[in-house]
Amino acid sequence: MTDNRVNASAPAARVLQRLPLAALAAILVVLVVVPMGILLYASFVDVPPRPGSPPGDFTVDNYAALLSAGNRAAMLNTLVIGLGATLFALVLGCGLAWLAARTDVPFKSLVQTAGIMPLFLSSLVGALAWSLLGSPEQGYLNIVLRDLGLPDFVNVYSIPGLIFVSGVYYAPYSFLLVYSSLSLLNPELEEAAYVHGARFRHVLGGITFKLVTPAVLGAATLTLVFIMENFPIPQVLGSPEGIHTLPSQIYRLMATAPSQPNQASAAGAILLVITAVMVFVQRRVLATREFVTVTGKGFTPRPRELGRWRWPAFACAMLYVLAAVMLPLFALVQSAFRANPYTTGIAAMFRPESFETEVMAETLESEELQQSLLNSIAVGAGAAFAGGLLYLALAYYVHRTKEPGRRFLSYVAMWPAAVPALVIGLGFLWTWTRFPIIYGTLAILVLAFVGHLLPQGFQGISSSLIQVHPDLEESARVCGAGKIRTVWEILIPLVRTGVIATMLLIFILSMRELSVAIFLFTSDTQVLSISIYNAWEGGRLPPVAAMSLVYIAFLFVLTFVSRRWFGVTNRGV
Amino acid sequence: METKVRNLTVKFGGHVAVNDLSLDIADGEMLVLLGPSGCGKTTTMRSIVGLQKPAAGTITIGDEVVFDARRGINVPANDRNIGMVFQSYAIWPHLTVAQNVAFPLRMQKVPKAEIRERVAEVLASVGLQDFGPRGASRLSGGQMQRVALARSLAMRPRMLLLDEPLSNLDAKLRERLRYELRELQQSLGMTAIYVTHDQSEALALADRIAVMRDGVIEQLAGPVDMYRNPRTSFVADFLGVDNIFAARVTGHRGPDGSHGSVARLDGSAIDITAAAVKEVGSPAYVCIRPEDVVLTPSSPRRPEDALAATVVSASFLGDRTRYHLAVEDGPSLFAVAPGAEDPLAPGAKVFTRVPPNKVQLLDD
Repeated sequence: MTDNRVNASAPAARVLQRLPLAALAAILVVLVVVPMGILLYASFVDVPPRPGSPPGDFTVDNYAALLSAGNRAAMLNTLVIGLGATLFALVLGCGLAWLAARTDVPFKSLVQTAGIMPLFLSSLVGALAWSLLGSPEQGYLNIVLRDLGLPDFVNVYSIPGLIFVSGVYYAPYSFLLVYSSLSLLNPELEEAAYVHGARFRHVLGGITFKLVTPAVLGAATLTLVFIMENFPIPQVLGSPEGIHTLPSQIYRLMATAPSQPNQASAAGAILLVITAVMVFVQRRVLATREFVTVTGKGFTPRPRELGRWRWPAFACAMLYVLAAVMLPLFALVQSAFRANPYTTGIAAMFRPESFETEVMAETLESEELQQSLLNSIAVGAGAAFAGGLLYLALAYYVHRTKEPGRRFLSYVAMWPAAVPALVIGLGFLWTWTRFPIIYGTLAILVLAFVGHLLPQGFQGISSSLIQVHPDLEESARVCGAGKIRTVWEILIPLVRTGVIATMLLIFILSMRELSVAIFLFTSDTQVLSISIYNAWEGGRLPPVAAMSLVYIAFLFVLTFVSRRWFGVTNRGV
Repeated sequence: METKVRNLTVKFGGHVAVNDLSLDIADGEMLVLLGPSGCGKTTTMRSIVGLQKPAAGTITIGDEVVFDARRGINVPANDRNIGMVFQSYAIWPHLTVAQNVAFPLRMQKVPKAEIRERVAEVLASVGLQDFGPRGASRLSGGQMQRVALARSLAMRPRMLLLDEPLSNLDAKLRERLRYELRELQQSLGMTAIYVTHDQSEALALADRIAVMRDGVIEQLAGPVDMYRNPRTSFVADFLGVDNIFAARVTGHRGPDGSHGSVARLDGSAIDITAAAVKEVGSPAYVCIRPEDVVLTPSSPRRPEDALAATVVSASFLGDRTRYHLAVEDGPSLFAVAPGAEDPLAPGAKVFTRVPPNKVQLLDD
């Protein structure tokens, strides 16, 4: 669509032509490249990059210090928990996906919902609830076990506990990827195997899961990255027993006096390298193993009959819902709605007179909650709007123009996918402490979320842009509409649904995020996740539970509303 | 409107899609660009409408130069007033049929009352008078095609471009719309360029056909002329000549050598006689239409002209039967026998004969 009336030979015209590229590139550099650059710089000098401080001398001591025993243990834990929980999450996610997509399991839609339900809770709330449930001795599960005369063996403050909780809350990602792949799989490929004499187990292992291997591998690396960079779970469940992973170690280096910001930066750089390598490997793996048999064509596959395994399979799915959603909700309600935080047994848990609404009422009325909820909404809405505009401009430039620099822009836009949320926060901290207009305000949180969610936002809007056939815009041009008119009257109305859906996603994801914000908030700019975390750190468990319930309710309504929105508007266009 | 394309060159990176192409389209003429995919026919059309910026050349519509690479003139597509029907129809799904058709008129700032009038008028002309308020996403393929045509006609364009507009429709509808399109174009006296890779569509619609290959025009002629006298074997192949054999001219017929040439098919000992006279020793392609192959079950009177063959397969097509034959010690030959008689069984022996004036000796 190069249609300038006169060749842009004049230098001024050429500069004007490059203006969009320059603006987009500058924004991406500020959001992505500069924070990472300053973080790497900080990891190689001996003074923190703070305003007024000298530039510092080059040193590799920060990296050498990472070889200390504590840091080595953190790295090992990151790896062990990452691999163990990924395996567990894959088993859960693939199993549920197969049941929901390909079998005659009873209450299929319930099983399908089970696969994504834990997403409402976020890993922060999940970890908090499981600490209420499974802490040694005082955990509700242990109280119940003792009451029943059984040994109180449950302890989530342990490596297996961390693996269990991480696996439970990251299973939905494998579920989503594998489910969509399984439901797009042409069932004739399986039927052909039966016709040619294969038995069920051959087909399931040799055909079905072989064909969705790219999705499973993709889910595996994605889950591994997510779990290894996760901060709330190891912080809440690991730190009481001194079990640290790289993210919680970075936080410890920053938050405990005397803070060691340069060492924290070095640890962040290491974590960044690990996740970046994995994301790179994932891209390569997926690029080479794209099986064409998974088409976008709609099928109504004949479900596999489970026979006598129907109900046991359903029970397994419900067991997952119990562990991921029901028990945590029960624990939060128990903790939020009682006057005395100590419970002696099962009977005490269900005694009507021990229920109190005082904590909940106090929490709802507290200025802290109201302010941080407002802050969360402001930050989420800010990120959704600012991000939505940026992602739309980027996607338009990359997919709808023939201007130079498109590959560079789309490449840099995907970078944050490889950057742990905690490390993004650290990078933004170093970048913006010099600018008090931004630092210490909600604006820095908005900026950090827009940068952190670039890949999701850019991909979301890109996919709805790509669905609009270029002919639709070109025919408007032929009909006499100028470029801007075409975007306004044709393109925007056609991608509106997709853009709104992406903005809602950005809103929800920024509401859920703790790690990005943990280094960037001040007492005036606490968001809800931070308030919950701070209350937990202060040991005020009932308010933590009460705020968590408000948080969950809010996320649930948001997600429900946006899902409805998807469902209603995706038709027709 | 009369259109002149001069020395048009379009490049995609290093690939030359259209190479120094010149073309005149007369006022009111329907010109068909015919060729295989990737031959540059759509690129040529997109350059004329202004959606593709050529590397070199000029394009003049009427008196207006809309593109001139050397003078730096490139009128944007929205100022060229050329109608275009896209292969995908490009009907905007968020607008109604009437809004789709009204769009170019709104862009031209036509008063509202007049827009309503003209939309109704043009919808009636394509037989969609009652479809105005209908959502555009709820139309059948044929209806979408008509809306796309109505939208292009509503703007009263200087010229109409059609990019394989019938290729997404089923065969029966395609044939009917082909006639409608031709009649509408002729009654409006609209200058039109029609891009297709379907030879029967080209023959039925065109005032003139330009067969394109690798970014250049291989032959430009009226449909009858082109059908009778394809200039090259490529054109012949594209116009449905199924039997094309590489050969070499070995001699001449007649006392003074002016009664035609004899060509020996490459890789066999078979000689074919053609009416054209070509230099002895020159390579040529022997091109024979399947309907020009005469089948006789018994030995013919002049056996030197006939070739013995075996029926490999026969497909009965109702009003004719199409045969795949294996010539004895020679190549496969396709033949069409008219009439609804019982087809010959596979394995049957037949004699084939091609009148020399139906055999063409063409270049590559």
